[in-house]
Amino acid sequence: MNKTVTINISGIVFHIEEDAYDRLKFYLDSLRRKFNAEEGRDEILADIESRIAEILTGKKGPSREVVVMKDVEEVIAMMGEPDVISDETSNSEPAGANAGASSTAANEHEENYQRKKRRRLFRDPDDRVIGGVCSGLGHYFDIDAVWIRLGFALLFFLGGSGVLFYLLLIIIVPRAETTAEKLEMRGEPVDVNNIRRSIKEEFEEFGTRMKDFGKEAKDWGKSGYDNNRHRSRYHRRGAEDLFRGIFHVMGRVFAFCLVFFGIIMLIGLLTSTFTITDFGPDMVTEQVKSLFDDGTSYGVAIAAGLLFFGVPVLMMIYYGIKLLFRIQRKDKWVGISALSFWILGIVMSVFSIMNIAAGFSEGSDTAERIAVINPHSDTLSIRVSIDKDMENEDYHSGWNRRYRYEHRWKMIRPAEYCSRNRRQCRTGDVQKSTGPFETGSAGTCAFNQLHDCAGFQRIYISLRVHDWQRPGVESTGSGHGTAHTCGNRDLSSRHQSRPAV
Amino acid sequence: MNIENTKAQMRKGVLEFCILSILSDGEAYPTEIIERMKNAKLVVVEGTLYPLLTRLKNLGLLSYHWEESTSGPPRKYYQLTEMGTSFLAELENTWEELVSSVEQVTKKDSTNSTQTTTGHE
Repeated sequence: MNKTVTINISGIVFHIEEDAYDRLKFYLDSLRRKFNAEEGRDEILADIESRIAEILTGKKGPSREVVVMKDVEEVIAMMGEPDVISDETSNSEPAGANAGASSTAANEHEENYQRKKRRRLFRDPDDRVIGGVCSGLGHYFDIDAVWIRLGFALLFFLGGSGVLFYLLLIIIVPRAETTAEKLEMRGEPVDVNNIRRSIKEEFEEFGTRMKDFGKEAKDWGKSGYDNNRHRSRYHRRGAEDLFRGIFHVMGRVFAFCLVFFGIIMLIGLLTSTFTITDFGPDMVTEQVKSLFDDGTSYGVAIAAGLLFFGVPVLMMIYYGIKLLFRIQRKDKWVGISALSFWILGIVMSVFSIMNIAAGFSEGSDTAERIAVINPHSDTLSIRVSIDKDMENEDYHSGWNRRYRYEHRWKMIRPAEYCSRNRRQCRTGDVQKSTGPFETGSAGTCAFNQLHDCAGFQRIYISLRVHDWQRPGVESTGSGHGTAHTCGNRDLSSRHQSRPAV
Repeated sequence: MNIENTKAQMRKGVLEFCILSILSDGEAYPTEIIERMKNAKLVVVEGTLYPLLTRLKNLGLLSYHWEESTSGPPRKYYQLTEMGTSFLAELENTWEELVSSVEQVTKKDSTNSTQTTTGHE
């Protein structure tokens, strides 16, 4: 089964297979270039097309409706390849045989250039390790695919960005399926020379059009017809060509920037992600993890960040590559899925941020420690009062705000204190009391659980401020706690609650 | 310049002459002209003919009219103009002169002919 296209040659409709169409079009294009210098180029081509239509009509029968590659090859064999034609014709004006010969040589030279089609980026299915991306890139840039594979392997170690980049290329870059595509894959390299040539060609074409226009305008003028409309159309076309040229170059540069910075950002994003997850140093990971209540919300936040920043970066690379290699494909679904992933990322980010914000506003831990040295008694009473200015500012200001003090304490036996290192000692000895107690403007709490505190050298009490403030409002208040030990000692400390996010 | 090229150059000069002679028998459309030239092994590929016809037409030696065809697009039937007829007569004279002079030169040693032409080109 093959796909066919419908074409019109000299007013006759043909169904032609796709590869045969490509071949025929390529042939006619090269003929057009061949006769570029000829005066009646369009007429010659119309004649040739008409003859082709005649031949093809002869080949068509009631049981054979479609023109195939074989037919086209036969037609071309009959009509002759452009270089064969050039041998037999070329300009036979009495300008001298030498001039004729040299123009033939020049034509041949040009022809050899044109034989190969402008190179396009494809994946090579014949030389592939995974998807043929590397060998395709190798063909495009005329490098051995090994080096590109090596490059991807290196990128893999930069936060695994190589994997993402590779997947992206598999999605964007089409596989070379037909022979024509495989030829294009290895076609004429895209370099400065042939870009210059294509621009030159365009200008020449533009020049012929202007000449035609001049003639046409004269004719129109003779017949007294208003030709302004035509003139403006030609002018506009010329300007369009020029702008398209400039646009084209700028587009390429822009596309290169997109891809280049996109890849750098991708590497940055992925490596930083790895740094704050379990692969990174403990210190950083612990710090980041401490922001979250549990593993799930931590994971959600990581995913949210990746989606929120990663999707735009990937899209940047995606469209950059498309623009750079002039790949045309229907990719509505890419845009749509990218957008939905990004929106998912936004939702998850908002969720995570609210989570972090809530964590900040709920447990603004002051880590204020009050040392009670050599307590005499087994009962410790703590008096916690709201700071004066805080009371004025916030407590009555209409924000639904309450403060709670939670006490934790740790007791350090002298022997342990000396023998253990700080970290173990601290974590091991922290105990939580039976529950938090609340304060209004002021409150007292005596807790008798400390009955065996005698004999301990030090007691640290840390006060934790719980701020039930709405997220998003900065907390400026401070708490004021006073601890009494067994009635004979007053210790006080101020602590500032951490600003809520 | 290779031999093929030389041959093509030689053939090229007489193609227009041949086209005009064919048309002197009466009007014809390109395919007919090509058939006759192919039979005489003058033309290898058809594509050669079209630029020549157009060039001759633009010079005013040929004119054409369209005729509907049962098998394919309408055909261009070419015929000689008056100018074409007189030009043909002139070419026929030149050709005869050329043949006789070339024969005169090459008769002595026919194996040397290619070399001579190459030198001339």
